[in-house]
Amino acid sequence: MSNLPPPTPRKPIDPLIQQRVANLRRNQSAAEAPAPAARQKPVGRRVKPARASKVASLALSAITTVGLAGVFAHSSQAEGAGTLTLATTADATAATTATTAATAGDTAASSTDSTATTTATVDTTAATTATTATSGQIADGTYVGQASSNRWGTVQVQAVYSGGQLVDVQILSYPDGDRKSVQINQRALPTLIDEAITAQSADVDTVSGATYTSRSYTESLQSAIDAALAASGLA
Amino acid sequence: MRAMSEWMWYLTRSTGIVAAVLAVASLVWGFTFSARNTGRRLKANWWLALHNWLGGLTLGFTGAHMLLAFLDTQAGLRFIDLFVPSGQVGWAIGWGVVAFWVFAVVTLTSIARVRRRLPRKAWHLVHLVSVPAVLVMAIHAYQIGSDALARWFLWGLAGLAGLAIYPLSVRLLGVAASRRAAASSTRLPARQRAAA
Amino acid sequence: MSVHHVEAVMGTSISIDLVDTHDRALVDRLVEWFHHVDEVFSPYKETSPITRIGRGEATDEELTDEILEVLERCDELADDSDGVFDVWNLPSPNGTRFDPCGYVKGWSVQRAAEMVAAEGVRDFCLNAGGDVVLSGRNREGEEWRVGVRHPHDAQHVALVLHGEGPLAVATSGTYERGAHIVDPRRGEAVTELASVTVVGPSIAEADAYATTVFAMGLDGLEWLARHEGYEAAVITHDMRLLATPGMAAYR
Repeated sequence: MSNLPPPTPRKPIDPLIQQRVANLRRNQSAAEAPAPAARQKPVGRRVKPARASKVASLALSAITTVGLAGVFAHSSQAEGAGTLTLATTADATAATTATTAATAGDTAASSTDSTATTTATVDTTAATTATTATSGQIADGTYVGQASSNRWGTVQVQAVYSGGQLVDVQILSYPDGDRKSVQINQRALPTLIDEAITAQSADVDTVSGATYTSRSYTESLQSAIDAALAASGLA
Repeated sequence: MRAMSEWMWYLTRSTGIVAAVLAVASLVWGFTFSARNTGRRLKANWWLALHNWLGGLTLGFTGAHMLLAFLDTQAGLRFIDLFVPSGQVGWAIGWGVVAFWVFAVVTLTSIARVRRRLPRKAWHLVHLVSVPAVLVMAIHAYQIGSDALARWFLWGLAGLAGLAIYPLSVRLLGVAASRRAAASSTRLPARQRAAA
Repeated sequence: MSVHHVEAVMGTSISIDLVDTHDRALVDRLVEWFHHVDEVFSPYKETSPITRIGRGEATDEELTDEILEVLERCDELADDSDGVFDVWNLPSPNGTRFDPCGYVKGWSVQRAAEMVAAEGVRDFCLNAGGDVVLSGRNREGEEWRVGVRHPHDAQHVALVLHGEGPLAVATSGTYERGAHIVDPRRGEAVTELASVTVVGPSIAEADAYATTVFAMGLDGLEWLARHEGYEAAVITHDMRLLATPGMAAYR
């Protein structure tokens, strides 16, 4: 509208408005070009506006990419010596599970059966009698290992103990919460030359098989066994 | 001595996250720029140039993200999986492919628009699809799940959503206000006529 | 009356499970020991004696008794295995060709087991990233049950071994870290076998033997049969099991 020519001859401009416009112009140019050198080359500025911001955003993006990758590499602690950072988190998890289990143990000792919860996602039904709880075996229930992320999501190993026996291992995967459960007692074993091997109970005390990295440890059956031991208050 | 594919994975994640931040930034800049129509005094040139630039960067980082995912041998992605969403490799990846296509088409139509080969209305319609595309991208990031349980990831997602929603609402309020203004200014002469 | 602890050290996780004691101080000593081994023997640490030896920078004072013990044993193993197990001819993370990790892990667990036994503890289980040492019986008073990891599935076992301690079980495989076992004679990664499990009295030897059999391939079973007290079970890539005859005693 202001671009249109005035239909009638112009009135003299109000000095107050004149002052305001001048103020605005001053503010505008001050904001646009803080450096006097830049003000001398308005043409160049118009051809390549926001050049500094563009360069800055590109640089920031590149640095962030590399930095994040470094953080991921560091936090996953894939291998090498001195994986102490993960040790503390593992300890912390063990400590929290141990506390929950300690309460579960207490209740189990005082009454004949009780219910406890190890994690928010999984209910632990410690329907054990006082005798089994004190006999030094792992309290019945479901134990969840530490979460571990990989290319396909985040997984947690979950071990189910019943009557002191490891009866089931489930892999919880996030975010879809899909449970790929395999009943290990019914597990089809690989074809074997030695016919003596048949389907057998896989209730084991420990697992042999190189877990080279701390990350792969969290995905292993051994970590679930350790979680169960710690949580049973046997430690 | 970390395996090459491990680094590919870390870089795939970081380029993806940076692309997401850039996409949201581009969205914010776009809406802030277009909000100038609705009463905000901004240096149009600067905002528009940076908006275009951020959009381009988004596409660039998305491309790098896809290339790295393809090069990560452990991820097991075929070349076709990068461009055709399918249930075969999971919808988590499919959403990412959809978002990529939207970003690519939005960028291409904007270049076409600059060259005056596209009517404004069509360009604008395509351009608006980038808003749901950013949402689809967020679903992709969450469903992939590598960081889905991490607190920083969820807070980051919430923060980006907040960043996107603010200028979006400013813009929508602005549109509503200008509609009202337009409606009243067309009504005014009618009323004056009636009064006369 | 038991202590259980998991420590992340030496690039892996070590589970300490002492059944007939509640001696926390003993666990602390074991943890301290493993950190000490990490400091001295890690090829990842720029200033560790092992890195300095590999670079030829180590002085005689740095060659402590424990380092010499490991080096001597590694030389014996190199002779025994006809150069298959050769710590002086391996790509090391520090860029040299010297990496005794393949022996040090088992050796450190063996020493830890001796420390526990010296305290009069009879029933215990140590597991250092899959290298297992057992003594006595488990908490139910039964024989220990050791699962051997399924080569394709970290959450399942391919076979279960039973035994009363003292007993050591070590497994070598390629399922993690890619093909990490290199045959020095050919200089290429070994892929014939999916995993090798060796059972015997000492974990230091069992670990080294498992690595060696893995590098030798199926021929390694015959080589292992020459070693008194050690048995091996091998899982091939097509998921078949082959074992030395004495393995039946642990099943």
